[in-house]
Amino acid sequence: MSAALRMSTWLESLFTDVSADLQPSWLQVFRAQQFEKFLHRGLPTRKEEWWKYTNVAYLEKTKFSFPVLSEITKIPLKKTLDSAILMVFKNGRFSQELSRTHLLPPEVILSPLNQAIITHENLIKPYLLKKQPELRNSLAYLNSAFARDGMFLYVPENCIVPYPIHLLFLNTEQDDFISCPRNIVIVKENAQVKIMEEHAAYQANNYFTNVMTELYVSAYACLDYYKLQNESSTATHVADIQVQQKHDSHVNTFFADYGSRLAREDLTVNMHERNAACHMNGLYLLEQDEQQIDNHIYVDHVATNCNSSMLYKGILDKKSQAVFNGKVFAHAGAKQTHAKQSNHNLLLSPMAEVNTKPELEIYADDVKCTHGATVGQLDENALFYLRARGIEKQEALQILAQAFVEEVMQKIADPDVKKYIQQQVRQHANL
Amino acid sequence: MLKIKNLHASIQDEKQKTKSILRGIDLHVKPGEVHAIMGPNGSGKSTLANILAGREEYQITQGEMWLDGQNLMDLPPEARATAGLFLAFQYPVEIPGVNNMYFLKAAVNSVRKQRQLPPLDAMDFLTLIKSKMKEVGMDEKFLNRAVNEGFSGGEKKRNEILQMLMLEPKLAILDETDSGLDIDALQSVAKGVNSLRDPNRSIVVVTHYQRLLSYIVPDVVHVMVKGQIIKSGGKELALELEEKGYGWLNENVEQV
Repeated sequence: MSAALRMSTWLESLFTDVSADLQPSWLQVFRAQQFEKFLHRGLPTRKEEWWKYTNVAYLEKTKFSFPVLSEITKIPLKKTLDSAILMVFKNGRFSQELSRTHLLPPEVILSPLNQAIITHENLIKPYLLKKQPELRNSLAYLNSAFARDGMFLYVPENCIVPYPIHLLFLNTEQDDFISCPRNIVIVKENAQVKIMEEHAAYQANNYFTNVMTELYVSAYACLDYYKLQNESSTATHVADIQVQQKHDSHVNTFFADYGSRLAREDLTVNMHERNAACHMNGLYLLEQDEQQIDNHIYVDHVATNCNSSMLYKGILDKKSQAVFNGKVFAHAGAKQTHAKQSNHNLLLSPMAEVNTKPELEIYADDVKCTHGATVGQLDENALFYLRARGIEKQEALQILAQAFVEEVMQKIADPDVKKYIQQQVRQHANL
Repeated sequence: MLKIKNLHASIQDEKQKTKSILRGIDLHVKPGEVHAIMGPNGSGKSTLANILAGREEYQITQGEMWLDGQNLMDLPPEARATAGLFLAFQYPVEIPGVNNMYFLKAAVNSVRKQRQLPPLDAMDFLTLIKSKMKEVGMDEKFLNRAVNEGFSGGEKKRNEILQMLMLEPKLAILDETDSGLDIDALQSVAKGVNSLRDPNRSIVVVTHYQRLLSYIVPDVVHVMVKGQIIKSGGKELALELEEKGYGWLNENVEQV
């Protein structure tokens, strides 16, 4: 009996709940199809190559419920981004009173998804119902079935959004719930926008975030997408991020992962038109026993003269485990592809484990692709050198850990976002 | 200032075999004195310097080390540094990603904190370090580079002396600071060291050659062979070693 079938009783009852939402009939049909697909596929298993090192079978053991509305009236974070457009979701539901959108240019549509489904039905429908190949991550189907809220962003042609849009998913004061936010971002021709999607927790445990973010980037458009995963240390976070790039578009992504017991980031970039560029960077910091962070990236180079790069760096302590799998697929027509992948890991404990696999699959001529991965330990000589100058061991370790991630931090173009992430990294590199 | 009594130390080699390196070192350096430790390769000079600074891979099997009345044995390296011990490394470590100025400031303020002094603010720090850099003949551009990364041999050694001037230690140990230096660098390093000479400060110079000792004139010269100090004398002993080499001393080793 498959895992999904064993989960199916409580999943069915959750689905009944979702089906009762006020919604257009096409959405109801779509959800039912997606739910069927998930039940058919079941949870990802380690028999699938794409899930070889990450075991999510334990998810079937918890009977997750949907969260009840959160009562929290203040953002329980030390700091938020100063000048930003802020969209806050409490346990997956949009919170008007915690959000702050006055800096938004009037021509931009920014709306919680459950409202946008009604107010911008014709805009959203083709994106949700688009034909797509079988997804590698079956949990994305569960997201489609269960997604009740999230962000809908539409940046019209030639529009430059001057401030980052901070999308904050707060999981608060509840345990054992499942949250499936869905974000849809449409950046039209020659527009520019920066999005920071953050997942944070406050007094919440054993919950499960299953988020999906779709980013549609039109010709000549620029998108910076920052993802901060700072969930509770008992939580599970599975994310599916799909990027569709048109010709001459430019995307930068940055993933900062430090929370969760288990986190999985599945990033897929489709470059189906010429001259697109995507630069993917990330860091992960693991500091607990049994913590696992898994980054899977799939870049599909279909058209000519596209450029992609990956730089991911991680620091692992205790008995933690990290997985990195970056795959670049260059189809026969993808001439003049430039692709670069690197993954570097620093192990602070003999118990920590890294499975790293940069992969290239190339069917085109005239391409330039490189990849590399390293796993190393702290330089004892450097540590002694700092200590011999009076710097305490703890501080010396922090200095060296920060020096290790500095290379990738440099990739964050927005100074405010950089400062914000730096501050979180400092808290987490408290090794 | 520095008292070492009957110090024995060993290290485990790659084959997990214990190799004894120091075999009963006695050394007494009074405040204000400059001592030179000379000796052939592999005699244990650098090991002694590193053990004093707190390197952990050596096992101390016997003996005592005291700095200004403080037992060094149980102190971690950072506490030895804040207590006033400074080792100028034979091979200064390159630390990519760590800004040299940031590092120097962190070091200075750690030591100041221990001495119950307020931390230096950015302006005071900059003024101080620029004047010290001039003293050791170092270009200011090295402040904004990563610690020792891509520095030439001479620049690395100047950076060591710069750190020493900033930290104002009670006891400075120079581990072959002269190796790989051209004559200009040697002179500015010596100038830096001499500027620290003070009745309340001691200096131990570990070196192969007499060359550095013409610039930093020692009060006492020790000869170390096979983990033991086999002869001590005045500054003229260094000249004698330069002339005759270490061979003539070997008979002394066999006696002990």
